[in-house]
This record gives sequence, C-alpha cells and structure tokens, in this order.
Amino acid sequence: MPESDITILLVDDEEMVLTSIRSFLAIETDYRVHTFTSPVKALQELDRLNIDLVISDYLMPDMDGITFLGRVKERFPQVPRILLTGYADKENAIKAINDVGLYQYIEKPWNNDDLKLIIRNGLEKTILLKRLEEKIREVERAQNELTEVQKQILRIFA
Amino acid sequence: MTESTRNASDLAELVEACPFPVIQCDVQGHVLLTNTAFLNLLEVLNIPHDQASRILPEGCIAQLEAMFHGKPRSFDLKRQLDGRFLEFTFAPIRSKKQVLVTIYDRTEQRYTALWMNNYARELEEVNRQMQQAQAHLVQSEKMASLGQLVAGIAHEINTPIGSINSNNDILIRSVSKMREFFNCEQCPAAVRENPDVVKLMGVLEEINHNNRIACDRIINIIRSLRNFARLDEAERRRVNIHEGLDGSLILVHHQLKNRIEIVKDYGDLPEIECFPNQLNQVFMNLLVNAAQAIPGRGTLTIKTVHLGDEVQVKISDTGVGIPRENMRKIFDPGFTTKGIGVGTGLGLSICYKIIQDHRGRIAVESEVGRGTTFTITLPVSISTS
Repeated sequence: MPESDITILLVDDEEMVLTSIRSFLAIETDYRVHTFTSPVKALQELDRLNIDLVISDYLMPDMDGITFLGRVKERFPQVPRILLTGYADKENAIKAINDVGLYQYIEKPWNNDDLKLIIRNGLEKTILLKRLEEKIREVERAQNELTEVQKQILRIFA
Repeated sequence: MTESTRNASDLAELVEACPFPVIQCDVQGHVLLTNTAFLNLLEVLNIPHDQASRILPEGCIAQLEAMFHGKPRSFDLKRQLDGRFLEFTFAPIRSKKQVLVTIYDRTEQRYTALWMNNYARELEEVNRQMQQAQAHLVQSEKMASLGQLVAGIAHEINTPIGSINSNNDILIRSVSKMREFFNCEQCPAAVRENPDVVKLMGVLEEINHNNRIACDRIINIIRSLRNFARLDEAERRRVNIHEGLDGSLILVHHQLKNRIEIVKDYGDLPEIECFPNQLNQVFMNLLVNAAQAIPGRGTLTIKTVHLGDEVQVKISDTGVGIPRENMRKIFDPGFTTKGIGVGTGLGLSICYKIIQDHRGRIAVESEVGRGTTFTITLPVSISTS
C-alpha cells in the first residue's frame, strides 16, 4: 500500500502543533494529513475522511482527547489511536491505554523520529488488517466461484 | 489599776486586734503574749502552744540581745518552715527591753510568684514553638505555591517548545536534503560552488545546530522544573535520588557556571522511599548554600553511597566555612548570616524538618576557610526503619 493512499487525522487545539507535525510528515513521508483544531469538527468529518490512523492531543477546550479517541473507536475500531500528551496528563494517558484501547501515547515535547516510527508501526497493523480483510474477501469470492462451478458441474451431470 | 498594768492590758488588746500573727517576747525569745492569729498559725504549722518559740528564726536571739546595746531599731528576718514562707518584723518595746514580733505569712504570694514564673517560662516556650511552626508553615505554603507556579509555567511552555523543537528538526532535515541536492550530479557546479550558496548553507547549518542545543537546554530545564515541583508526586514513592540531585543542579546552574566545578561521585544507589518534591527542596537548598559559600572559584562535590539499609548524600563545598560559634545555630529557624533580604534563615531549618520527617539525619562538618560538608543519611525504606 503506497504511503500516498494513507490518510492520517491529526487533532490539536494548538495550530502550531498541527503545523509542526504536518510539515514534518510532508517532508519525510507521503501520507495525506487532515488537521483539525476542534475534535468536535473532526468527528463531523470523520465518515468522509476514510482515515487509517488518528493522533490527538489530550487537553482541548471542547472535548478531551480520550473522549474523542473513544468516539473514533466506536465508529472505526480498527483505526490505531495515538494520544499526544503533556507531562501532567501522563497518568491519564496510561489509564486511557486501557480505557479506549490506545495504540500508543507520545509525550510532548515529542521526538520526530519516534513519532514517525510510532505512526509507521501503527499503520503496519492497520495495513495488515486491511490486507487480511482483502484476502478473506478474495478467498470468499474464489469460494463462491468454486461453489458456482460445482453447481454447474452437478447440473451437467445430473 | 496601775499605769503599767493598764498599759499591759492595752497592749494585749492591741495585739489581739491585729489581724496578723503578733507576739510579744523577751530578748531570750520567750513568748510572753500571743494573739488568735498567731495561735492559728501554730495550728497550721503543727507546733504545740507551749513550744511557740520554735517558730522564731534561728539566730534571732543573738540579734535580739544585740538590739538593746545601742539605739534599738527594728529588723526583719525570713524563714521557711514546714513549707511556708514566713517574714518576721522585730520591733523593740524600749521600756521593757522586749520585742513585738509581727509575722507575715508570704506563702501564697511566694507560690503564686513561682507559679507565675514557671507559667511565663512555659508560655515563652510555647510561643517559641508556635513561631517556629508558623515559620515552617509559611515556608511550606510558599514552597507549595511556588511548586504550583513552576508546574504551571512548565506546562505552558511545553507546547510551544515542543513545536519549536520539532520545527528545528524539520529545518535540519530540510537543509540536509538541500545539501544532498547540491551535491548530486544534476546540480550544476556553478550553483553548488556559488559563494553565496556555500555561505548560506553554512550559516543555515550552524544556526540550526545552535537552535537544537538551545532547544535541548530549554527542554532539560522544563523537565527539571517539573521534577522539582513534582505536583503529581505529592505522595510517598520510590525514586532514584540521583535524578533529584541532577535536576536541582540544572536549576542552580546559573549560580555555578564558569565559576564552580561540579564533581559527581555517585555510588550505586537503590531507589529509596521518599517524598521526592521535599527531598529535591533539600538538595536545592544545600546546593544554593554551597554555591553562595564559594566567593570566587571553587569545587562542589556531590558524593552518594549505599550503606546497608541507608543511603548517604554528601554535599561539600570549598567555600568560606561556618564559624564554630554558629555551628550549633545553623538549623535554628530564623538564623541567617546572609543579611537582610538575602536569606530568610528558614532554609536549613526546613531541610532539617524534611530529613527528620523522612526518619533520616542531617549533619554538618565545617572548617573556616576550608569549606563545609553536609551529610544526609536516609533510610531506603521509611516504613520498616
């Protein structure tokens, strides 16, 4: 799966954080990146975006990151969820790993190499899942075809 | 009735009317006349009436006999008898060479005074303790709000510095890509070797490198501030105290740099059970004191050792040292030699209290002109010690 087919959703109430991460991903990867300063707005657009991975800040005015990632999980359970946290929220982040099934959390100030690695590893999981689904579908299709052929053969010999 | 018998009965009446114990006696101390108040006093003192002279102070006979040698003058004597404080006034009756003795029982006043003295002393002690407690309270309140302020600032700075740090990283990556581009074959040599390009690339690389160092330093300071405040860790927990020492060192860096050499001699320490924010406060205090004790250049040594179920931290400076007469007072609240407005005199008393709360010990050795060493000994585990 080429990187340019991959869509990442990035939510942080601080525009400067969005710009930094978007710029980094722009020069280092080919991912498509959608950014939102409001998790509520991001949820409204969620169905349209067809995302493969989501990164969210924790402390935001209109909805906290854990609630937001929980909502994303309800609708797209296979999408890896990454929480970007300040130091003071570490405890919360650790709790959230269990509560909303976080894939990872990244502490601010983050290291770009770590960020890239975490995104790549997270995507690998989704990509593998997607591939698995495709394979299952292919197998099903093949099986259906076979069943059809079998029926035809049976009809011929009947 | 003769004049003398009338005089005598007048005297008896007068004596009886007196509310104090009064007796008439001769110079040999024989009691000739008493009043009811006196008899009551004898009862109180368990002295039989026929031994009334026992009440008189020892040595009064000699004085009584001497009394009439010259011009008779009255005199006072005191004595303590059976737990009572008695005051005697001996007044001469000239015509008879006898004395009128008035006895004042001062026991109540005496006990009241004693009691008041004790009470005053107790009050002073309580007052001193209260002042000390208040000083500690004010200081710990101050440290708590300082902690909150520090944690708040650290949190606020964290997001923008995170962004700057990331942007700097992006710049470094971009410039390195540009460098790759200039070095590839498609790039004309004229561009690659253009002096402006060479200069520009050099400047960009240098300032990016510079920015990275600056960012690292800010991030390090923020980390130290958070560790120092440790608001998330107001509770007891196990930590490696080297982290606290290193964090405190970063915070006092501005007082040390280029002037004081730091020597770290860290042993292999187990994590210890403690209140990290409080211990950091102690380290910070001792490091600042050490830095201030060194007037010019000097060395600050931090040595840690593991001793059985205890750990020891020694903070030594090559500073001015503490005069012998001040050694006993340095942990007293309010004692300072730093001058008004510089020191509160509370720092070391707080340190003392914190170490005591940790069931540890703090000791000091010092030599004027040579330097000072503070030794903190802490149990690895508070609960089992």
